[in-house]
Amino acid sequence: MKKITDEMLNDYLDNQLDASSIKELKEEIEQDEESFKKLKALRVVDSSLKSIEIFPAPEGFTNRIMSIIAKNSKKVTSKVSYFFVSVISLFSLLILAVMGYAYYASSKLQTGNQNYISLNEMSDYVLKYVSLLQNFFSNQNVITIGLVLTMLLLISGYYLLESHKEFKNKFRDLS
Amino acid sequence: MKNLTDIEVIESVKRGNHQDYSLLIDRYKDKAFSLLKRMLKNEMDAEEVLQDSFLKAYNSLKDFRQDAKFSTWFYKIVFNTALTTIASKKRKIEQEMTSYDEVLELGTYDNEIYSTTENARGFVLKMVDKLPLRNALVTILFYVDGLSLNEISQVMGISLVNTKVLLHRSRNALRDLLLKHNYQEELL
Repeated sequence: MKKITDEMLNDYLDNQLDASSIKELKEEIEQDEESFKKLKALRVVDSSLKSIEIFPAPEGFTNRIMSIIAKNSKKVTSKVSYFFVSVISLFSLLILAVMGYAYYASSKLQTGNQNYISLNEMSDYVLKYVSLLQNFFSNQNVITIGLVLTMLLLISGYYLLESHKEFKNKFRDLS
Repeated sequence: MKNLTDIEVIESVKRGNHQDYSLLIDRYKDKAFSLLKRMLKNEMDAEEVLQDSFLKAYNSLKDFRQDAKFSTWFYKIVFNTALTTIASKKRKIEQEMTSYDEVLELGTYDNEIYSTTENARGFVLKMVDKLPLRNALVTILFYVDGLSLNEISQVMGISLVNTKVLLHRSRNALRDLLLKHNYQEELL
């Protein structure tokens, strides 16, 4: 007679045995009262466990999570829009300043009957100052200083980010 | 909307319908809460970990691979978040969590519980909460959350064989208690 093990009984309960093993087990169990009792008890355990109580999550839990998500996503959106608004505003201001200065410089040069500025003159002035800027930035010293400053800015930015992270973690631990 | 599969809901959330995430919360919150309450033995901790788990899952949805099951992935987050909480509270859990060969000693509780329960089913349900943590987790994930042994092994980061051993041992321990208290008279 083959010994019926606990593993075989559990596998039988979980439908993990093939047809021939099931047949064999059933035949053995008929002659083994102890194993029969064990299988019966296991079935009660199995059916009882299927009715384990489910504790409901606290009331309003879903809404609470969704409001946190909504709050966080708003924060992200506003950060992005502020960034773009700042960049665009700065760029627009720069263009306006260049144009304003060009207009001011050209009006100063107006003499006699020349009371208006043509578009060509305006663009000449803009091009003149653009080429001045180009000359300035093509200078080797300026490039070197610019590179050094950029490096410094990047390094200090990195340390600032790290210290911010550290502060955030400390703050989280405290709360 | 409620008939959508988990994957369909996730796709919708990824497309920008953040509100659809509430469908996943409603689907899993009660079962996950039950698991956490049994794991942490404290309702407030369970709620906090559950909230953290749902937020972590939401923030990591972009990393979720569509070939995996959301339930397995989510329960893994729940399980790991709960372990972090336990570790941070410095509960002496390591011993309980490391050994698979531990003997299921339920004898300290069973007489007390036996005296207060009327039938085999009630007795089994009360004794589940007295199982060692790993055994209780495997049992609950299998019976309450309906995860397969393979999925449970992924969630808990243990081998399939160990998962099966834990489930079998839990059932055998409960079975032996039923036989010890002559519940078999009720069964036969």
